[in-house]
Amino acid sequence: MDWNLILEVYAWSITIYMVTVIVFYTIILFFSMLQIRKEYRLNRTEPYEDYMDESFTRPVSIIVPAYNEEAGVVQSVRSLLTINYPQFEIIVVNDGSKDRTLLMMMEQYEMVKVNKIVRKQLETEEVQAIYQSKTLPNLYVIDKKNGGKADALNAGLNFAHYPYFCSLDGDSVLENDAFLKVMKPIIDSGEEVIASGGSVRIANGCDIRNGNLVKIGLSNSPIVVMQVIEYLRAFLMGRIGLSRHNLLLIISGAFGVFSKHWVIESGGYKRNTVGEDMELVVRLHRIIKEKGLNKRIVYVPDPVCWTEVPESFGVLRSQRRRWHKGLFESLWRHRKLTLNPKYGSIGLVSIPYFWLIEFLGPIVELSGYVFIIFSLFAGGVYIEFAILLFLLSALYGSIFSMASVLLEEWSLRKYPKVLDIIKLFLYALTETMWYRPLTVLWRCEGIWQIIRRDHSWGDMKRKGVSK
Amino acid sequence: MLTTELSVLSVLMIFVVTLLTVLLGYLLIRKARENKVRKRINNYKEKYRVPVYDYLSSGEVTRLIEPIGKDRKLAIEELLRDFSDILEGEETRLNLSNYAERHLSELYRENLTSRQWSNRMNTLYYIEDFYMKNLEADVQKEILDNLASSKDEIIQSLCVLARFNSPKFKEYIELKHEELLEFDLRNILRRVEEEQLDYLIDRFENYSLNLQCAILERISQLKNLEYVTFLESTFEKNSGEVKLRALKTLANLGYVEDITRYMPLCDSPVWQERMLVAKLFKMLQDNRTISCLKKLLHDEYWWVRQQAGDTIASFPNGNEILIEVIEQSQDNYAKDMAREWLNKGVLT
Repeated sequence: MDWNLILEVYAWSITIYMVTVIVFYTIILFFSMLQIRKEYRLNRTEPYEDYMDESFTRPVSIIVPAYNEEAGVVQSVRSLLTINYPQFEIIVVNDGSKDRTLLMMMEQYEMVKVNKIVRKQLETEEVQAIYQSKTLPNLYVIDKKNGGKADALNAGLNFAHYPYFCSLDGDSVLENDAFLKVMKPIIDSGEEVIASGGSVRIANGCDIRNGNLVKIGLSNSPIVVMQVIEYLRAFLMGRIGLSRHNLLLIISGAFGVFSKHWVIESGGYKRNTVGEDMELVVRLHRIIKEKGLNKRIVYVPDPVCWTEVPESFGVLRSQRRRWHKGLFESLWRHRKLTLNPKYGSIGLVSIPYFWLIEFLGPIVELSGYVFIIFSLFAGGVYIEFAILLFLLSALYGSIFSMASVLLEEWSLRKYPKVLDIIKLFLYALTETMWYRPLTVLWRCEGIWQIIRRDHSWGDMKRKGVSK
Repeated sequence: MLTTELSVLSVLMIFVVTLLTVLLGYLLIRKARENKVRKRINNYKEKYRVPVYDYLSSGEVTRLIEPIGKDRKLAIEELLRDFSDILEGEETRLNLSNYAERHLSELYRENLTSRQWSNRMNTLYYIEDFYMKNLEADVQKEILDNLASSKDEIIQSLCVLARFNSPKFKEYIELKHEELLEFDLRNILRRVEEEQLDYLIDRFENYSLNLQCAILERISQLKNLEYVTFLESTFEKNSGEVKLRALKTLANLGYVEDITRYMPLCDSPVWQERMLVAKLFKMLQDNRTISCLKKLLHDEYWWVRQQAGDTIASFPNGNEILIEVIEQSQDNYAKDMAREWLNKGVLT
């Protein structure tokens, strides 16, 4: 075999791959633009006023799984109590915490033990007690043996009284109108929509007091700014473009409302999964297709939830590895869907997209970087290939990010200062140089861990978003 | 060997980057300018706040509150929006709409023909909020008669006509109701008064299921006992969803002519009917219903048990009945529900 030929084929494959991805992203960007622009400057409160009437909305159960959250749980609940929605209940599930999580709740909200028999529609670890607040009858705490987040959510689901539920992490802050915004498509569609997700933004750098967002700001830490751009890009571009055609696969763990009926019907959250939320959404899609239901999963571009992201390389690294493993698990568990025409556009477009671009993308990109470094030493024709690859990766790293920043400023405009936009734009420009290669490397490490069957999850350290 | 590809790509890159930078420049200038305009509008708002408030409460026109130019008008619009949420009183409302009609009509007429969907939508919201009756004809012409209008615009326009008690409302709702969801129709009918509602009730049979349900919902909100005869006959004559909704409305009104006609619902195969009859019994407070309610407390559906518990607890001797169930029943779910309602009585 001729080495030159092999290298050339290698370089060309990467090139073709990248061009395909760029074309795909461009199409999605275009759809997102149309969708977002339509609602540009629509009054943000008027459309929801009518939904505040109790007889119109559907009540929602908010499930807050808590494992060793003594620092934040009281704050989270307090912020939830102030949300603007006619009828809801809060169910905190204490998943066998080893700290004072339960005690904090008991003291703060005067919880009393109630005798309730719960219909066990989903198998969970044993529930030890159920408490109800004396002062706030819609606040419950379920105390159960430790079984992981999915198990805690299932216990909450068994208990929930209302037809819709949402799961919320302790490190997230909701906008006041979050539920109105996310429930609107469900109500508007006459309940044809069975799950609805909202856009997630980054809380680091924002001013949050008592669990309420006071002022939107941008963090000074480069690694956070890069994540802000990444979220903007993922949410503004990817999810809206995909949502238009019922292709949406992920409702972020940070914020989504689901129909309880359909989630229980599909078996609840799967235990021992890293990405239980994505897995659930894939499963719902699968059930919709298998039963031939006329149901949809949608996504609302309006930011409704602010979440804390890692501020150090170490934590970010383990988060990215974990996400990548979660992605793989969901795709692998439902591999039957891949390229299966029975599942329509989900099987033919969505799943292949996640396999080829989201999951395998990092490997191709990494080999591109390896090639670039190699060619610096080899010289000759390889330099040209290297430049070609570099330009392409700049196109799909930096340029799409820059476009997302502009799309945000063109439509939703959450950042008030001119300087913020300049900062975001310039950081986006540098993405290909450092941030992108790093995340690619981390995601490849995730793949490596899957191959080695390493199941360590890595923990996220919480600083607490609220002051 | 790659020179063509490279040069094409480089040119493309330079082009895209230039384009993005130009766009950035444009957006930044726009942002800076809008921040400035925003500041100006906020200043105007402060300047006008007190005089406009005085005008709204007294009705005396002064030169102070004659806005000239677009920024001032926008400031006024925002002020009126703030005020319309908090002000009460017939006269104040009238002053507010007079004022809006005088200064904002021209701007809104223009907005209704705007190419921007969100602009048209916002304008429709404000026309309703400010009760600008003089724009009614424009709403009909520009939105309702316009085949290109979106569903949201149609709905909001119908809301406007309903709120204004417009004679044209009946015509348009009959024309448009088949394409609207029940939720939308309920939302529109929420604004309708008895006179318009009577017209719709007379022609009830001709309408789509969605509109029928919406009408029943409106009756339920009005809580007017005059409609009981209509509801009872609708309940008798229909089946399925309409029957159920009629029963729901009766349960909400809490009145029926003859209670014995509803007793058999205790054994209805439809759980919603069992729940609603339990709810109906809460208002009627008739001892003849107790045996039925005890049975419903043992129902397989949580919602039925919940409602039965609620109703029993509302009876004067409710606690005794609940205690009896707790002591004698074999059914854990029924006992649980009884205990829960017993506790609620203690806690509150």
